[in-house]
Amino acid sequence: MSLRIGVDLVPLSRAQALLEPDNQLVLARMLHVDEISECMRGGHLDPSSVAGRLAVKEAVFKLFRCRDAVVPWQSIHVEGLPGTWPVVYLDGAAAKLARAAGIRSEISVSISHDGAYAVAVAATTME
Amino acid sequence: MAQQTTASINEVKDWVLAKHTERQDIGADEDLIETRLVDSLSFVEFIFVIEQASGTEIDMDTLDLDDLRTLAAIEKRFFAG
Repeated sequence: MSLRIGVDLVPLSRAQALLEPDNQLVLARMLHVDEISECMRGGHLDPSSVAGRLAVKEAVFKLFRCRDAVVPWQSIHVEGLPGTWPVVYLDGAAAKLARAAGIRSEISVSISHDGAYAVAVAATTME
Repeated sequence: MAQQTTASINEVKDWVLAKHTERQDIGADEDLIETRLVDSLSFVEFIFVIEQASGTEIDMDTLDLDDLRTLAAIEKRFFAG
């Protein structure tokens, strides 16, 4: 049994850029509707929450250790209301990449925000 | 057709240059992904720009990364008449 981890850092400025009106169609390809609604704070999209979810998806993607694929944003699902532990589940392309990488166990994630950055770690155990 | 095609790939080039003001130009065969001119966070927007400029819809799950690594490859795959 071995441990595999992935980490990712997202500047809030890059999440903020995705919240611009011109980029809403782009963001909708990276986060699901329910993920976007979980990022709402006071009726507005919170860049910190968006950055955290993007960082989680990238950190999980790094567990797959594949070079010639792009982050399957829509098939890595992040759930987690404020004050709860984030939970990740995979389907579609992400589940396929995980199987190909030999990932059979649960993937645990953790997010942190401080100042201008969000950071996320993803971990799983390998047979 | 060549003039219209060149104009379209330049929309993609201009988008990359706008994100990297330290650069004045991008070689047609420069690997946009290896050089991180396009990284995973900007990749979806990059695809969106190519779709808008080429009028082609791109399926993220089946795309071939090599079709997107260089301006020359993008032009050949998405802008050839």
